[in-house]
Amino acid sequence: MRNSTHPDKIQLIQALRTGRIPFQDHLKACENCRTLVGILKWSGAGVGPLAWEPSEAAVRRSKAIARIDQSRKPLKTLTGAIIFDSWKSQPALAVRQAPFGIERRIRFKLQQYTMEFVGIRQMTGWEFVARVYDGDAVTRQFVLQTGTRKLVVGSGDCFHWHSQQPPRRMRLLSKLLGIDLGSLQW
Amino acid sequence: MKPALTEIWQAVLRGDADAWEDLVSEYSTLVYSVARRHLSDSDAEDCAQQTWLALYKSRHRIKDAARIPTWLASTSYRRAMRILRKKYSVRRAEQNVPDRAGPLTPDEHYTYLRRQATLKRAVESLDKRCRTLLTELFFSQEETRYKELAKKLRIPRNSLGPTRQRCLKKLKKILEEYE
Repeated sequence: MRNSTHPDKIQLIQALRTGRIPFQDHLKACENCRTLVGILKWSGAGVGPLAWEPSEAAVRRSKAIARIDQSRKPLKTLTGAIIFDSWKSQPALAVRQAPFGIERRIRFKLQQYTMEFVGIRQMTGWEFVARVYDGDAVTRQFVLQTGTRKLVVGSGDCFHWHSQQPPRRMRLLSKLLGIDLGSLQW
Repeated sequence: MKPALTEIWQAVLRGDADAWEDLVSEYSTLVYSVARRHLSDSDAEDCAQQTWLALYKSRHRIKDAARIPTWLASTSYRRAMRILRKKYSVRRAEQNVPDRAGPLTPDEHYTYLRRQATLKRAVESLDKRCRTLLTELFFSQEETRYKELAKKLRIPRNSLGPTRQRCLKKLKKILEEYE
């Protein structure tokens, strides 16, 4: 590097990482480069990478701590009702030829709360998605318990899970309210 | 505008699960990064989860919200060391710092992360020309070609030097105000 040119970013990073600054003479003469080196040192540019992003799943688990803890003892527990079950309804004309038992859609309701539930049978087991509404708006306040498993709302404000067996009982739990969704026959 | 840490913490202490989520969003990078500096990806995730659980369990003992970032960084560091000790010998654990520049204390780690965020905010608050120039010259991963940069900024190539000088002064001034 010629003395008349400013160090570029690669030279700056190398210098800050190694602590060896080959452009000392230039720094003595150039106030701007001194300022820049000062800013970069101050911000820790020489100490290696500082920030790593955790995975979305890891952040979701940490976020769930409070909600899961609070859902242990809801103040009251009520029982919800099934208001729609695709396995007990006459399928729409367009899908009457579709193979039965591959997909099940259920809607549960209690007071202003509604849970939409979809189960899809696959080669490897069942995939489930559920979403809870408070009136017309999606709510994230509940934890969904299926068996011993407690799930928190994930992407798209939905509960997603996979299981070999479909759930026989489900409960929605929050700090204030537990909603027993009754038993399901599969 | 984001609520201040004190407000978030008060809400957490009142049992507000949304506030807890906000707190995790704000500091998950710090907690994970402190652990990740010493551990593999999966161990660092376990360590971060343990740290958050520990904070949740100890929440009523922490009255001063300002202490939370350093509490998180220190706890994550201590737990990372514990995990390493279990896996290797103590001596190896202390030596197993991947960064050649030497180990950072959790406090230093947090301070540098905060400063980098401040620097990012300061660069973002510059006018468009300065922001583009400083980002291209010093902060982007890609190689900078002066001719292309001058074209991008619509200034003659020989004006890059004086513009750089003015932009650095502005940046320094903003950083002094932030600090």
